[in-house]
Amino acid sequence: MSHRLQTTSRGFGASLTFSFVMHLALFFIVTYSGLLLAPRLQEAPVYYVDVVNLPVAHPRMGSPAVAGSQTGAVPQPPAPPQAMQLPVKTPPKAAAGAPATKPPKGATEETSREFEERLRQLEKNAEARHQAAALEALKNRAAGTGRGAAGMPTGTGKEAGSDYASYIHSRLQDVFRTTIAYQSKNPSVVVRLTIARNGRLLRYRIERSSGDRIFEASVVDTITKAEKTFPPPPNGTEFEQGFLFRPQGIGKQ
Amino acid sequence: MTFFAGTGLVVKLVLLILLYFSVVSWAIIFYKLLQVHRANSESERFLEFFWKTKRFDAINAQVDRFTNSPLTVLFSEGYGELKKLMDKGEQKEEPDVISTELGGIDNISRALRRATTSEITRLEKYTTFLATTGSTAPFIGLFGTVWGIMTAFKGIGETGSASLAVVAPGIAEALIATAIGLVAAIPAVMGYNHFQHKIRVLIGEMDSFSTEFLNIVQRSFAKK
Repeated sequence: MSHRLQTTSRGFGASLTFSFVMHLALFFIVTYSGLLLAPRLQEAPVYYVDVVNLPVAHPRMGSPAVAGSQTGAVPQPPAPPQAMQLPVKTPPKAAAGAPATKPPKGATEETSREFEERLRQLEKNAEARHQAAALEALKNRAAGTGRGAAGMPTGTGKEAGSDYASYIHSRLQDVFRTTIAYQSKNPSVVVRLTIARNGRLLRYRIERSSGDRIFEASVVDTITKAEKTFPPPPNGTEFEQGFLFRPQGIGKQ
Repeated sequence: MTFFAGTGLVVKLVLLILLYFSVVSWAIIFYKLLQVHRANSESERFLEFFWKTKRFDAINAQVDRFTNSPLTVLFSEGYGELKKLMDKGEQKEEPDVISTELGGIDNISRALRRATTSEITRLEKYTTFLATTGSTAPFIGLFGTVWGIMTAFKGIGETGSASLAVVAPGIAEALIATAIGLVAAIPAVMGYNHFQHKIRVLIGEMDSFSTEFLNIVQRSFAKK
């Protein structure tokens, strides 16, 4: 038979008691320190601020230069607005050395009336000029032959900053964003485009290049893709324009 | 106390279960730490005494000094079986010789194996509770959390207000269950792994001692 097959589980009861006491102590520590307490959130009170009638403090109150206590006096209310006085034409001096005489009371009223009359005349002239210019512009638009200013729809496409050039520039810029690729640090390519009267691209010529083949290929790709969106140039003429392609964008030459 | 008063019945139950798991787990951890420490230290001392002392009867007389060592159990079992075989030999007028024909060495080997198994059982006692706590406590905590959040949302639905002041306390109370589940599970898993390692080392020592004991018996007592 075995002498001692199993030893007793002595000490487990003591361990259990110790563990229970330890948990109890931990529970009280945690409870009294408030670690496990549910957060007591309180909604902040809502303040309504009337931004229209917001009171404005006196600007000098509490400023670094002047202490607030020194300017305790209530600011004076602003003076009531006064009626604007019309300019008065000063009468020329009658003669050197002659004693200055006060103008008669009726002279002031006369000068004011003259001024009002002149002002009305000026307004009438300005209105007439404005109407004449608008009429001229309408006539030019209807005829379609007038030479518009730079950037106007009636441009021929040859003026600097003309509308057609800007349109082509915009189309190129749109496509260039999707095709741009380069390997050198700061590549640039100058291309001169010639667009036929029917809007087709007649030719493009690389006038100057920084030597980045990948960038050149992306520029050519841009032109090829953008070509499909080119409209015919205005006035039935060929259009020719140089463009500077850089990673930062396209510029007109 | 305010926190526990605010929770629902199910969450309270979950927290109590987790508390029970935690208390018992820590009790087992303390108990096993003491047991394994004593087993290791007394085994070292017993082995030293065993190799110093040449006589088995002298060792058997002193074995009570090392009651916490599993090796003393093995020695007692082996020595008891050896003594029985020797008593049998004396009856056949062949003192100090055990017969291999009767399977004397095998008997001792079986006795040692049985003692080893019983000691492994004793050492591994309660560790299964640690494994159970490690694997189930997080889920129990999660259940409490899910239930608490369900209750919180129900309360939100009833009050009709979804402001932070209404939602946050309920969810915080619910999440405590998961936190306590993890607090119970983490030490249990760590303790279980630690004790498994220590028990494996002790099993290795017991196997080595059994082999050495059988060698000594075969060298000294077996019939040529």
